[in-house]
Amino acid sequence: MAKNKKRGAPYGNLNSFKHGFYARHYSREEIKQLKKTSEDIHAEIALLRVQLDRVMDFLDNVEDFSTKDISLLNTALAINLAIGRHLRTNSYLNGSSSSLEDIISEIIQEETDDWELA
Amino acid sequence: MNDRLEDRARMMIRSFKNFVSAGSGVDLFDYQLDPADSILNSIQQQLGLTIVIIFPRMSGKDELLAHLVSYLMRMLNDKDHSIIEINSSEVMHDIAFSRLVEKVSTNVLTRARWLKYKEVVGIGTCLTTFLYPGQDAGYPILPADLLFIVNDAQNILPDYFDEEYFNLAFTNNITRVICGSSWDDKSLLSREAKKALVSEKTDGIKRVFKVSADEVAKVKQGYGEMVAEVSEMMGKNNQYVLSQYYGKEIITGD
Repeated sequence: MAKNKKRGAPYGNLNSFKHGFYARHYSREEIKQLKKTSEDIHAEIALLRVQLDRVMDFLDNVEDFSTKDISLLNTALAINLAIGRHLRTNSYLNGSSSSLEDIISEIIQEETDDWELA
Repeated sequence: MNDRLEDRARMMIRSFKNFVSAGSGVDLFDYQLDPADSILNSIQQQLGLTIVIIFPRMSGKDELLAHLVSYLMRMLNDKDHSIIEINSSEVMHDIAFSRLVEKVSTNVLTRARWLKYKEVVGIGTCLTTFLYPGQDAGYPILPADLLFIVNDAQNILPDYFDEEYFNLAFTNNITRVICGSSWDDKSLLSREAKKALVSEKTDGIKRVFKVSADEVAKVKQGYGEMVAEVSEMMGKNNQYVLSQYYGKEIITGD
């Protein structure tokens, strides 16, 4: 049986940031930040971080919390949890945390640079 | 969080001692760390030294070798390097092989990256091949270019070693480790210890690391009791006890 063709743009496609929904709702600076990451799950994480920054920027200026502000704080916490879930998913899919692996590889590179091996 | 993670990773990788303690949860003793430092220094500086380790039985010599090989393979996992370890018999070979597999599969810095194929354990492109006398590997063995280890060298005759393994052990500037527990003056261990002592006198670089059972008993819990039990069973002046635990070589007189 033939597989159904996946609908929508391929993973990592960022056209929507440039032309569609996101372009209307995100600043040029935010879009630039999001375009830096093209992989699917990393793009989602980057998107959530931009949203979190935005909420936190807003909340930083709040002195007396209203009901609306508290719901925004809940939103921030929910975004934070979602970032954590995405990072765990990424870690699960890759067998380990890529960020930790990257750090370790960099340190090993630095440490072994002095080794006078042929 | 990343800064703390980075600091911790750096601490674990910067020294062999930390790699073992933080990665495997094992604290090596100073008598194990001293030769390890010399071996690593010889490799890092391409000194091509032959280091001789003479430890009493059951004092953690094989444990040290497994951790050391694991560390080297992790540090050089993106470079093509080869380590060879010879063991004196098939039984010792199997034990050493399993020990290394256990180390790389449990250390947090290696457990997601190692592989094994036949007699080879590797991390990335840095590989360790295990051999034993009389073995038919069934595939060509490349000479070691990083480290050449002979374990249980008290059970290997120098002539046999020279004939069988010369080509694998004598590449440019390779560091060699000959280790075992003392036995007689005809063994490879004995010959290499004598040669290393002569070299030590020439350039002042320490090459022979010899520890007796009494020194191990001072730091290793339960070791003294175990040696006392063996001594009582076999006799304090038994040749086996004197050589294997106290490093007093048997003089054959041949």
